[in-house]
Amino acid sequence: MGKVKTKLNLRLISMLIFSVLLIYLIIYFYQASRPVTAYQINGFKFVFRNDLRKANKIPVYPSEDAVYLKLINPIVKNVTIAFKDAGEKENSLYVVESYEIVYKLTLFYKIKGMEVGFDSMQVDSYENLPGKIQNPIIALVSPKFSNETAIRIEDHVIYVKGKTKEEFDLAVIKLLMCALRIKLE
Amino acid sequence: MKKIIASLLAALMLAMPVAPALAKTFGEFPTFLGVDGTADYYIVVGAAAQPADVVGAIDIASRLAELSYTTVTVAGAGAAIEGIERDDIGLYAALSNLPGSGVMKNFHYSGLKDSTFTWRGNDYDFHEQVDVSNVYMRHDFGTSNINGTEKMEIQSGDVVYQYVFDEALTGTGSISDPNYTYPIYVELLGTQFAIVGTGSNQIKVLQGSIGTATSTTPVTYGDYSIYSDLGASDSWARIIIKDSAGNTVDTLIIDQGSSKDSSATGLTVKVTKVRALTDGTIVGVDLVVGPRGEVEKTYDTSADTTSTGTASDRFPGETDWGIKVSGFSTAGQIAVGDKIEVVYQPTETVYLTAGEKLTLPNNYAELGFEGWNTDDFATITVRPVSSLTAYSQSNPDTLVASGLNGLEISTDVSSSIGGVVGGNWYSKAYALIKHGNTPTNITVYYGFYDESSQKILVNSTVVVLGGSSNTANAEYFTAALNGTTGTGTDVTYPFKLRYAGVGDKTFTLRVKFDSTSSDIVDVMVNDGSNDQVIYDFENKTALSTSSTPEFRLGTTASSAQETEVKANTESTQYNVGKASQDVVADGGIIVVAPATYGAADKAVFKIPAKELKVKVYFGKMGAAATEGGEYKVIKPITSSVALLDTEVTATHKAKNIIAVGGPCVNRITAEALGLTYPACGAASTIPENAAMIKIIDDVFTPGKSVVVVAGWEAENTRTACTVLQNYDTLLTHVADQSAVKVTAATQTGITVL
Repeated sequence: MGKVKTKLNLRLISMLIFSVLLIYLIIYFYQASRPVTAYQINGFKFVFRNDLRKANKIPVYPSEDAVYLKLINPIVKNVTIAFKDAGEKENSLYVVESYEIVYKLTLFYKIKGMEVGFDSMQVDSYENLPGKIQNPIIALVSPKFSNETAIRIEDHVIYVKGKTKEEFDLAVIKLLMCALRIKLE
Repeated sequence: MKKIIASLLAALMLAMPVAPALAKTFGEFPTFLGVDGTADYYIVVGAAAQPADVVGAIDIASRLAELSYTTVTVAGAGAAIEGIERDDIGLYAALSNLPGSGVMKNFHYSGLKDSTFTWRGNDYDFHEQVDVSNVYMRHDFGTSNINGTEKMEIQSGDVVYQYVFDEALTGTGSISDPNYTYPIYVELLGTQFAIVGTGSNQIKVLQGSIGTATSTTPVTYGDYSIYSDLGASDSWARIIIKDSAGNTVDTLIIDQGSSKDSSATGLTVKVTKVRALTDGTIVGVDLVVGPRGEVEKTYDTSADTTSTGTASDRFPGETDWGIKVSGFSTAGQIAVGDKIEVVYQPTETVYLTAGEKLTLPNNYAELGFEGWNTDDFATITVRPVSSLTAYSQSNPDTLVASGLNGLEISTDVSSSIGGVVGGNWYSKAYALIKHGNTPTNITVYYGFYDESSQKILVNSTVVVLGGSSNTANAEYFTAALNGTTGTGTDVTYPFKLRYAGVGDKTFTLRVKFDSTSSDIVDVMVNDGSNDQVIYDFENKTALSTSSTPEFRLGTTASSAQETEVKANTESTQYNVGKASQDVVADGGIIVVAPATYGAADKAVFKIPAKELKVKVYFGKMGAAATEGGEYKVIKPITSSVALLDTEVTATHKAKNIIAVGGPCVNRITAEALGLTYPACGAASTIPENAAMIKIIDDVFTPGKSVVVVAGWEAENTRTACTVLQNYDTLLTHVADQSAVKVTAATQTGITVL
């Protein structure tokens, strides 16, 4: 009788441990698979259009810090968003992404106590854009003109490129992650 | 049929009279877009868009970021201090008594940074601090420029701004071999410097205006604009300097990495990077421009602010602030704790009086002397009086003595004078005497003015004293000196002085009569430990058996003499009788204009309501807030996101929406207007060749609104976006409206729809 009771207790404990482990794993995988679309900076909750985890995978050349340095720099007085007419369908992407960039960077500049203006520039070519230390250019390269998804810096121009609409969206988020110093664990 | 119903519904919606009290108006924009710290809206653009819509999006985005500010109403208050403010600094004390031993940091004043700078992709910690520990508060009468007035003394080198490197860095250039490719950008007091070399207790920096020039975009310095129109990548550039009128005043050919002086302008231009097309057209030239010889500068451990030209270490734009360094011992490296310092070196010691401040370069911070730690002072006046009559303290109807001479002690703050015992407080006290029947016999009356009987009351009982150094021991005290029945030669009454009788600090005014002295009376003000102020009252007439002397201040009546008032300042006694200004004595007793009052034979001084200290601040003093004034403060919010109309779901429709673009290109606009997408041309309901901005309530969710920003053409939409961006100036005349037609981004171009 005593042996039966001990066996029952062991089985119960094992089941309990297993259940706890299972719940933990479920929660872990649920959290890990959930898209992260918001990030808190200095009390400001920045909400993004897409998953920060996905965006985090977009490569940045030469480095994420270089993006930060180009944009969050005391010399910067104005940021220009450059884009090439991509037709009605993809121009709308420019509109949405421009809003995202300007709105969130403006908030961030305010947090940093910086006064930075924004303007836009429609270009015929992405070659030799006149970026300046004091006026860097964010060149939005829509899927129509891009064969890669990445962020690249050339002199004082930051190119944001996406092969597809979603990747373009993610690339813009990655740009903002670099500028806002968002580091995912 | 569906279209007809939709149109009817739309017509109904548009025609439906909406209760004005409920309809949101432009006067409420953009307040209604935020709820409880959250941006309660989405911005929705049409999936089909024109390039002009990008501009509109930027306009709106930058403006809506304004929602990160919230307007608060504050009660009226004095000027607010942003930073640290202390009111417990001694009258003669160093500011090392400030927290942090007088070294101000970010946690004292947030304007001083504790942050990182980025160099070659890595972050390096640094912090700024300002050492004011050697600044002194002083009130020495013997020091000219202080003269007994409370002042903040700032000597050369007393205020030092320090940019402290908190993390080691290796790989920058050296003094002999600077690294222009990867300068370290740092901001000293808000001015940018680019460090290109370190070592031998020195740093080499580029300073001035830093930027990129092209043939159309200049880098400006003062009145000059520097352009570049020709060059070869990584090689050379042609630099054109124009004056404020746009005239070319100098042209220089400068190699990358080199600098040249412009004799015509007194400027030096250094080119650090050239980017050009193969035909020589400049894409951008990175350069630094500044005063001749100062663009590239080496700073060492001393800050020369007296020399001129290249020897000068003056901070740009300043004459008394110089730059020096501490540390930087190894070439090409920065060690933890290395400092770049900007030190204040005025040619003469600066003395700030209450209300004045020292402002750091670029208005970066202020060190200010605000004043005292209290506004509550009681002014005490001691003056000779004669031929007075005193009555009995126990029965005011009973005459005690008449023909009394002596001193009246009064105050402008009632109940600030008390007796040696008794615990009562009065506004007027008396120390009076009457001659006796021998040459040195007097009767001394210490009493107070009784407000109810309006009489001077004294003790009718005469105490017979013996010996010297006698002290009164009763509130109302009458004594005979050198009388027939006693041998006492003197008596002192220590009147208590306390602001309104309730102040935190008690002083004493000691009035001593000595019938054997040529100067019968002495008056001393004591702070509880020492007689800090002494008034030399003297007999104006001689004491005799038939005459009671009258008194004056000093050796001559109705004139001020140096020695008639003595005050201790910084533990040294000075004769201050001819000082026209107030003299702050040790212990916080303020001798008021001794020369002025001395000429009237009056002793006037102030006592504070509490231990007198100095109030100082470091940081910034803001403007005084007005009662009920509105001020903008940053309030954390949850930001909004932009969406394509094709991405909008029921979740999004639960919030407010700003729909950019007409019903021909934006499904949400069409839906909000009750139209069938795409509704183009006249069907769009947009005025031809114009735009409209319309707030439509309760479209998707009760209590939520859709703000439609739509133009006949994309350019019209852009104009409407500009109007929305400038809502606070362009929409004020239609603040009570919910819909307007826009033909131009001016008030006259905006009419009620």
